[in-house]
Amino acid sequence: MATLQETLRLTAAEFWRLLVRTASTLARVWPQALGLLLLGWSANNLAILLGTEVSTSQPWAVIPVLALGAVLQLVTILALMRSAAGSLGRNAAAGDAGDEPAADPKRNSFTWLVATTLLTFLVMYAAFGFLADYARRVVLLSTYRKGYGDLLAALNPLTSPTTAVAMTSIVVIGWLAGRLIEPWAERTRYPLPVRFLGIAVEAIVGLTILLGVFRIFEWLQLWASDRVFSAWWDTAWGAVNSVIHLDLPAFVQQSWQVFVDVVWPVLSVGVLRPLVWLAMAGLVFGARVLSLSELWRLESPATLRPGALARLRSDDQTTSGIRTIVIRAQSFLFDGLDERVLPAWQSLRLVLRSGWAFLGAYLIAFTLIDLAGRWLEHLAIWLIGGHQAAFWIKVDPFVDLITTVVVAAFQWVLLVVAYQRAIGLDEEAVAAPHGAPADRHGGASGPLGAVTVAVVSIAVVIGAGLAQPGEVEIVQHAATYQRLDLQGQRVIAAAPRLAHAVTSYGTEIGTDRIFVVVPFALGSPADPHALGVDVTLQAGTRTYAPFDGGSLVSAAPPGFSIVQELVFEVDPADIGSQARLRVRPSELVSGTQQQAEISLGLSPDQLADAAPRTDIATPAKAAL
Amino acid sequence: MSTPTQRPPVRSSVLLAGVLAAVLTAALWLYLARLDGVPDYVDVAAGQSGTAAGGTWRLRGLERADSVPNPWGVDEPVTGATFVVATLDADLRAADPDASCTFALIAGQLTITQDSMVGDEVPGAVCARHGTEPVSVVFEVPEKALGDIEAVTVAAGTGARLRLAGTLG
Repeated sequence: MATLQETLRLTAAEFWRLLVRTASTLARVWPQALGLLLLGWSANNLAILLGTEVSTSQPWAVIPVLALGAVLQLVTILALMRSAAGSLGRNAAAGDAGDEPAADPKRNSFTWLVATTLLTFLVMYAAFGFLADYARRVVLLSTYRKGYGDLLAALNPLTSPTTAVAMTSIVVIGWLAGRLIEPWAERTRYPLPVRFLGIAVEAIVGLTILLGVFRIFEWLQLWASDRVFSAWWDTAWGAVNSVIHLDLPAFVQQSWQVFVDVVWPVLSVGVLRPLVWLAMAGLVFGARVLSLSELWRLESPATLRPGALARLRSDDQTTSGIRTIVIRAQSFLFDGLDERVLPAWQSLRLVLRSGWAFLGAYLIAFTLIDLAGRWLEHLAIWLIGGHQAAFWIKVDPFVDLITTVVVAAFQWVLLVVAYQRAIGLDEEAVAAPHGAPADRHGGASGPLGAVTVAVVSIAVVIGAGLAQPGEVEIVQHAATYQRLDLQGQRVIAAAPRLAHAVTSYGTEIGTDRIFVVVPFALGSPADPHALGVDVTLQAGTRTYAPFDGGSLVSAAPPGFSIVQELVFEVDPADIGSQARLRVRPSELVSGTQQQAEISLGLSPDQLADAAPRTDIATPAKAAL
Repeated sequence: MSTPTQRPPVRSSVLLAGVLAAVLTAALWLYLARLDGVPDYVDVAAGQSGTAAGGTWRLRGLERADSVPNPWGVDEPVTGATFVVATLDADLRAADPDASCTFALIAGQLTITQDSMVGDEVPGAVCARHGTEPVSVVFEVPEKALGDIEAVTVAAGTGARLRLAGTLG
């Protein structure tokens, strides 16, 4: 019990330390933080605007435009983190492990930092859906502003030969350009712009490859599902099932579904994402590792010593034979690729070595800041209210400021503060005498400490997932005969009537349930911007669409209203005061909308008075 | 970029650059969004003609009609509305063969599309005539909007959309 309390106390202390240091660091660097994040926001939104403009004429050009936007935004993030690291007293990007930073000033430069971390950042961006969100905004704006083109198909190299050629050309030319830019940057008097050019080219190639690989992977999945061996696989499953008398495919499918729906979101978003971002943050503190080619020369990473890097860099001449060829070929083909991967891996290892108390505190802090950001955005949208798509298209970037500037400032600074703490814990552990594992693990050593912190952290992550604000709903409540204005459309419902059968256009239709017939008028005092409204009847947990199948009530022509009778086939048990019409504008592209709930004023007593049959009036149009 | 010991001018420069970039981006964003959802018309003054998709159009007049004949009888407007018949001079000899005409009446806040169920000719088929006969298009208009009528628009599917100015009477 004492260990448990101590573990919780240490976790709480680490949590508090992270929050206080994040706040104090942000208070010191807020001008840079705000300035840099606004620059990143600008780059992001300018790329979206430019991507939209080129999307109809040159769809493939959207890829480099998005890549450049992502690069510029990532550069500002790296600059912010480096600035925050600097304010904490760490010589950011200087290789604080002592790998002779002074011997290689190139590795202290910001451009080197960007060059070595950008690709990994880009992959992280893609893995956690940021790039998908980025692309979604371009598609949305392009659809709204340029009309329904087939941008996504045009960006698919497997369906568009032009795009396939363009993407292949981008990769080949980009790769060759990258090989030429690096030596150019070494020789030129102005290395900074040349290095940024190289970074931009690399990002374009990276994004193009990511997009291509995704499409090819998707195609392979579809291809495999259609092959003969897919049938063999089904047969094999059937054979296994007949032997063990357990519906193994169903069991595996259900297990997989639980993993996909429950476990993976918690693991990936709640645990993996903060840890990977923290490892990425470590890159701005400098890499502690060597590249693969350097490891090849060294034979074994276990023999690494401070100062070894400098010796290794100068021993090219001492190698001979096939080993030299392999080293040079590897350097030419993948020069720098390993430099991007290994530091991230080492950084992650350092983070994971930092102790359970620290890791738990960090996960909780990251999760709570993320949750607070989502609620802040939710509150802002709620305050703005429901509007039609045209309004949200205009204000979307400004709402996005909350996430990409305000919340991001806290998150990125938290990452830097946390990584600095991780380094501190690592150094304390190294300095501590042997046999003091409690120091390395932040006092939360042993299985009990680990389990305690893990349980608390996962509980917070799950709790935060459950406490997510969800969609903002702006709902007007009304009774029958009360007129409502829904984003320019006028809505009114009259008292419903109940019947066991309805007659429409001379045809009688009966039911073993009950028909609820609701006279419903929809008017357009001005040009309607929506297709109409979606109308459903809700009662308890059930939602009923009109019994003829469609919930869309088409908009009335401008200046007119149309009155029609909506018929819902309802379980008699749902006839009661909770029965209401839910009305929502129907838009091709929509944001947070005004909605309406019209209480129908029904009671179970009315069931006894239900008519045997009722005629459904034909729709009537009238001028407003 | 930033260094561990940034002086206040450096910090304020970064802030200033960020704010400036954000203001310019916001301005550009709003500027490009100003025409979202607003149709792009070529305005033609009353009595003048304009060209769309190879066809030449002129609004000859707008007349109120309480009923409109059709092949089977007579169409009457709904309660509170009346018909407005627009007569257009059209030279469609050089019109784009793929063109398909749509017409609308602008009356204040309302953009009333042609009533394709009223009258004896489907308006969309007008462009296929390739002749020089005048075109009649029927609109059903709320009576209280009659005083706001200001133009008839012609869209031929390709090319510019014309807004031909004119008032009732």
